[in-house]
Amino acid sequence: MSGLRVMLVDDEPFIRELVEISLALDPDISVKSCASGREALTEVDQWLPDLILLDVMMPDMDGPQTLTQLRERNGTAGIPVVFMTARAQNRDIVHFLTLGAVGVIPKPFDPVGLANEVKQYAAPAAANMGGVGVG
Amino acid sequence: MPDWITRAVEGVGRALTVRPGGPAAVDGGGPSQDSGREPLYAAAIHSWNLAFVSTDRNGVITGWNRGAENLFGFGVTEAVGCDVEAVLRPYRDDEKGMLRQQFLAGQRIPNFPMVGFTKDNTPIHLAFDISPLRTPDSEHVGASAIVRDVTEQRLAEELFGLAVEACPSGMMMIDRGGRIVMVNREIERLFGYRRDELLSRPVELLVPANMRGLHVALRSEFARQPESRKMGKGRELIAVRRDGSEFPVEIALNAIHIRDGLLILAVVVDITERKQNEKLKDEFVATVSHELRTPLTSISASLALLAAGKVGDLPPLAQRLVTIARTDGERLVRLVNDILEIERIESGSVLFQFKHVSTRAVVEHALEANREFADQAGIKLRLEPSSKQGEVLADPDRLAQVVTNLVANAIKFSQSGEEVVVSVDEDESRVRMSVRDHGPGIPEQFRQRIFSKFAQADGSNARQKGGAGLGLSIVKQIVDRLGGSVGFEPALGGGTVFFVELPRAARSEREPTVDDAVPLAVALHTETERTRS
Repeated sequence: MSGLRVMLVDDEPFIRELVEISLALDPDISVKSCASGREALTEVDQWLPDLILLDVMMPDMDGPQTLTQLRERNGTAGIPVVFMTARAQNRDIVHFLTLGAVGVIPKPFDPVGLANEVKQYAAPAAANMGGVGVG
Repeated sequence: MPDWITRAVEGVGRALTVRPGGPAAVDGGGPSQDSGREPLYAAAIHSWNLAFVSTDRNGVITGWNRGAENLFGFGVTEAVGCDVEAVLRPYRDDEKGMLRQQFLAGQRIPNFPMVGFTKDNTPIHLAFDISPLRTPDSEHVGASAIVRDVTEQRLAEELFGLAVEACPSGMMMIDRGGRIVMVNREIERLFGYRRDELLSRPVELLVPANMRGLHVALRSEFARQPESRKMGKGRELIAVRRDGSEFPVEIALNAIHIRDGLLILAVVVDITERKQNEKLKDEFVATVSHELRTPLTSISASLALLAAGKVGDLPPLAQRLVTIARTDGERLVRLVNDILEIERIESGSVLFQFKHVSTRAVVEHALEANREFADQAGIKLRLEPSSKQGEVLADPDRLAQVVTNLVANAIKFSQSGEEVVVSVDEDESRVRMSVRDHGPGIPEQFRQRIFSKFAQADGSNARQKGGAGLGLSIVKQIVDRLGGSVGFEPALGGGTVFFVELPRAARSEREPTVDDAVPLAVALHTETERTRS
């Protein structure tokens, strides 16, 4: 199947809706939204996204915790994760990258350019996955 | 006791006519060689305002001058012939007999303390300087004493002691070897020890085991170079109570030089509550940050999609309205970012990563980042070509922020078509980065508070120019932390020059660690930040 499967994890309904609208501007991208880290962990095995857009500050299980869980599980360990966050100062970005994220998209985000940005993060990661393998 | 008094007392010995008769001499004084002057001496002593008392070798008063009359209220006829303790009446039972004993001891006793009574039964703190009286052939015939009223001095000392004791901050004195020599009540309360469990113990008793080595090093360092550290500039340390529980303290240190060397006075304040408040504030800021930015994200994304025509074309007026809403939405985002930024810098929770950087490189980068903003405003933004590299030790991100804020400020106060010029100069010790505009200059009455938070030249101007007046305040905060200074001056030919001066760093210096560059208190803050994030 061609097209990029993007899973979006954010507890804010309006943000989810806006990201969905923004990504839908690109017909190559299909989006699945989850309202929490837990929901994402349940859905991820079924839906098998190519990339996960992950909010940082969420109740119950925050973004970094969700990322850790994803990394610890077979089958999800290799899915590239991009944080979407208002905490996007340089040192925050460095911190998120050391946690294993492939990128950080700052909020407020540019909805018109979002699809392209996401594709750029997905492309090299997909190439890497072919070489390195999963698990 | 001053010399002149000693000499006078010895003179007194010669001058006195001791009953039952015969000339007397003071210990060490030679035989009287000038007995003709004795009546003169006696007259002099009698007229002293200092109290003078002499006794025979049984403790019976033989001499009582005017000073003694004034001090005690007893006339010479009332006092002479009576037992010295019967007249001066020791206040404390356990001191009874001791004064007489001193008078009869046959040796010099300086500064013997006793609380007695005056004739009208007022207690009085006394200090006796006692000298034995001997005849020329060394027969011990009695003693003489100068008596001083030290009541006020004692009360002052007592008051001082009470003040130290009642001080709401912990006070503790430590000797050069790190042993505790004094503590007040608050120290007992803070640490849960009794005074006698602390005195002459090493002060490291009050420091957690894993920090004792560090504390010894800090203490030795202070003893070598004792500089006062005031509260607020002091160190924050972890202290440990008798029961093993730990709590954060702030310590202010003062060196006290005494005859036998150095004592260190440490004032200890429990900052548990302050730390809790800081934590609450941090949490509050994090929450507000999230709560403000989330709706702003939705608003600006919605408007951006509308403005880009991604959901259909808008009528021209609607397009205009969306543009206005977008512009001010972005302004709100910048404001929220600035407020949070300044709060973080002020609270010390921002870690500065000091590196060797070229100021010119930072400036070039920042100018590129602001190019679009300048173009929109019709401002020509350029770097002075003769600019130097300006090597400094600084956090490049923060330095870039300084440049950006100064440049943004210059653009804001320039007219379309004007020029903003940034230059980097250096001399042997300093690097100077200047931002020059051709704007209207800074009103006289605004100059004092230009770097304060929320400072704007005036209300109408604020409305015209936008912004909350945080940009320059952030600049000042950052430059302070970078160890530099910021200022401004009118530019030749109109406009203003804002400049930042930083210490110049040589390339050959070793790359310092973070701890080298920031004070300990800052390092502690950043430690908590790291564990939080």
